[in-house]
Amino acid sequence: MSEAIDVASLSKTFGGQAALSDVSFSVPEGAFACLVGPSGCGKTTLLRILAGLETPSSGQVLLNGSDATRLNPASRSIGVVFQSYALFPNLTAAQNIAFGLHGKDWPRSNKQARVDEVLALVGLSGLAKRKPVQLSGGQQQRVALARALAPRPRFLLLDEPLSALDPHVRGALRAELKDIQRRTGVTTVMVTHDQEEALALADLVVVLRAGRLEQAGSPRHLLEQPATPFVADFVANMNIIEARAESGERISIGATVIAGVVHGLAPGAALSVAAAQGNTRLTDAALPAACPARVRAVEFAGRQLRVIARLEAGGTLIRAHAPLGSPVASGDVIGVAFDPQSLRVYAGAP
Amino acid sequence: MNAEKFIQRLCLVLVTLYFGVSLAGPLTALVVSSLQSGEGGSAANLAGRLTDPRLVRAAGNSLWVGALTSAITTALALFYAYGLTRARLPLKGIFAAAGQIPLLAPSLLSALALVYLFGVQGLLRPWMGEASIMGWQGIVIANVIATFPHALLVLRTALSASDGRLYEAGELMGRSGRSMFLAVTLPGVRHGLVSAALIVFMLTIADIGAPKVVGGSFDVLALEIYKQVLGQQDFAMGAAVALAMLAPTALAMGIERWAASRQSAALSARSTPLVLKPHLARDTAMLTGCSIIAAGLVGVIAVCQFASVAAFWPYDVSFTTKHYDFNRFDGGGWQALGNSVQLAVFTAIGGALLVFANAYLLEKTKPHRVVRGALSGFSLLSAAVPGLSLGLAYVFFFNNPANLLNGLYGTMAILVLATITHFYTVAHLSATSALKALDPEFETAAAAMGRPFWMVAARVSFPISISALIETALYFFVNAMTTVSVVVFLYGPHTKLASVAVLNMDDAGDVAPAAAMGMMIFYINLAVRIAGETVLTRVRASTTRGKVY
Repeated sequence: MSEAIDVASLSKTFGGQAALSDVSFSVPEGAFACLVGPSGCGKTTLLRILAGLETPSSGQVLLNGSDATRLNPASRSIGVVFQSYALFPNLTAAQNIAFGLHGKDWPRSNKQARVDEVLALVGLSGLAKRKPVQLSGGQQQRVALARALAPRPRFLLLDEPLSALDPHVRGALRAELKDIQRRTGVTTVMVTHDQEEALALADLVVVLRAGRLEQAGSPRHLLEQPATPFVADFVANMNIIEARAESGERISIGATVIAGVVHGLAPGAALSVAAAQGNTRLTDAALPAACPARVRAVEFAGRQLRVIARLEAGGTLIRAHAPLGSPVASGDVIGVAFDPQSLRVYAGAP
Repeated sequence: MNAEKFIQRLCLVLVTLYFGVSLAGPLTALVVSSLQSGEGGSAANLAGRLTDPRLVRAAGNSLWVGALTSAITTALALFYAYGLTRARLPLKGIFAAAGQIPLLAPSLLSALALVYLFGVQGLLRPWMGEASIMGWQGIVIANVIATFPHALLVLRTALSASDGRLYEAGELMGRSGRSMFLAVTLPGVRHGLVSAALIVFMLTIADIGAPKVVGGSFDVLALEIYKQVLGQQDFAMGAAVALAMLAPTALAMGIERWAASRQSAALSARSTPLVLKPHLARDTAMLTGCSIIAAGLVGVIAVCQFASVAAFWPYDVSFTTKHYDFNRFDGGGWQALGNSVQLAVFTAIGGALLVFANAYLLEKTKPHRVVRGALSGFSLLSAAVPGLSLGLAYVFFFNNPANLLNGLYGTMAILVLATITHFYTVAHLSATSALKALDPEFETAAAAMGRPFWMVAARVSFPISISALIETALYFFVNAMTTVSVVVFLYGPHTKLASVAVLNMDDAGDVAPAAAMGMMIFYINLAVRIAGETVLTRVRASTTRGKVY
């Protein structure tokens, strides 16, 4: 696949405040990319720069190999779906969709056919004459999507399009969105703060934190090889624990020494260790490789229990799963053991 | 620069030009003129004029009647607004309409009603003993009536924004109605109270009708300008007084805007409407009080209507229409009424479009912050300039042969320009809040679709704001029909106006024809208001029709 979107060393400051710093990544043609990160990480700013609604302070945006950094939105062949949908309330669904069909490419005869076509694509054929106020949240979202897709853009940009919907509708629309993207083949960039949504939809996940790129890659790559403790925590939902390097392939968490962990660092160096919840086991506190911890809460998580405990060394909160019916209660002192092979080690304290 | 940016900048240049011609230029001319005398200009001349004992006395008088009127009107309007919003009042629609009646007539009409009731030949004169209506007391009563609807509008809006949850919480905590009023209701309308009091203060200070008709020998600043300019032809002194009037109104406007910026939203998305439970003592007190106030407001109009068709008030009250034969009296005749309607129509259409265009440019096209600051400043400045000062400033600016726009002087165009400018601020604030309520992403969405901002404005933003646009046009129409202060120095032989005719006919001793002309203004405004309300009801119904989610 060739690169449809190339973002090179992009930075943006607002009144001296850096919103984006030196961000670079590429999106292959026809791919579904998700920009993910906590609030204020710069993902919406990045999307607006891709749309041409903001100009970067430095860096470049290439669309299909051509420099589009200073190109106006109308010349970029983009469709945008906004978080609020921004549907024009006095126009019908069909009129909203037709609003973007203008110029010599869209004579009147073609316009109606295209409106009908995209309405069918999003499953709203019978609702062309309804105004936004007469549509449910999910239907409004589909009209916004149809409006963005109508002019056959080469790029589709989505700014948290599912965030205003209730969880049930959200789940259904998520699958539909992926299906429509696959059928149309349009290169898509979506902003979301929900890492689960990003992992479910994206071919490429771009993780941002405080305006900087943490990691970009496929969902599997991010889950299996998170590049930073932040990605391990935010995307892979792993436990991040403070540790120290020991000689050989050993690390220590408080007084507990764990062998079989490759780290390559000098003894005594501060470390951050990421452990997947599935590889974090609850055991007897007296076992030598177990880190003592006190249980803070026990929650039902589907067919198992989620145990939240605070490590006595360092005070880190860790999450682990236990079978239903396990005799664990809030206040208990337990042991927490990790599978040494699966631990990911990063230099520096968390 | 692309076409869209070019058009956006062109629009900004045009709006800036408008403010230059309508405000900056005239106010500069006013300052320059106030410094001039026969021997040339100096600040010492101005200082000398400003410390003239007559002017100082008039300033003190203006502040006194302004403050007293403000206190009384705000208290009465708060009571009435509370009745309309927080009590189970029967016939609320009628009470609400009665509260707005004085808006539809020139402020002079309430002063004329006082003359008919309490003047030398007043109906109730025998009951008054030695007391007289002429003087500060007359000015205060006439202005309380005339400014009541302005304060009511502000306070009713403030009291309507109530969060039912706060009152439920208070009830659950066992708080009494009185303590809830002090702890929740009053703090919630604090800005409304400040705003209402200052609006009334500014209107009273700038009013010329009441001081002229019932002021007697009690001099106020507004009357002083009028006397200096039209009586003694001392334009430099008139300019100095006009400048002196700017100070308290500008200060009041500044305080009002400061209070507005400190007011936090009374309602959130989670607010619940306040459900009024029956409360016999409260409801009876409110019904009684509101009935007395409403009767007073309706009574003023009724007295003027009655007197205008009475052969010779109060001695011969047989029916006659002779006072409506305006062509028999000085003041401009029926033509003046035609001119007023023409002025009101042009002001309504031109004003509403200009205000919305400017508000749209400021809110939606995000101009450079210096331009934005300057245009916002001008938009608010006009409220700080009393009508008489603005009118006089126009005389100095446009009646200068060196001015390219000199040809406008004495035409309908200058009257329209002055009237739009005089009433600009309130219209601007309402247009801005209507546009702020629209999704800020509309323009962004259109830009992403390659559509220019004017396309969104024409197809989306303006059609959605149509009810606010109509409201603004009605506001301009009604005020253009009734205003005296801003046009009194500006009309020409062919552009005499009905509101000024009321003043001039009363001045000439034709009190009944003056009342008759005032009533004609009232009926035209009433008809337009009813027609406007009918259109607004339909527009509002069409925006919510078929709502299913």
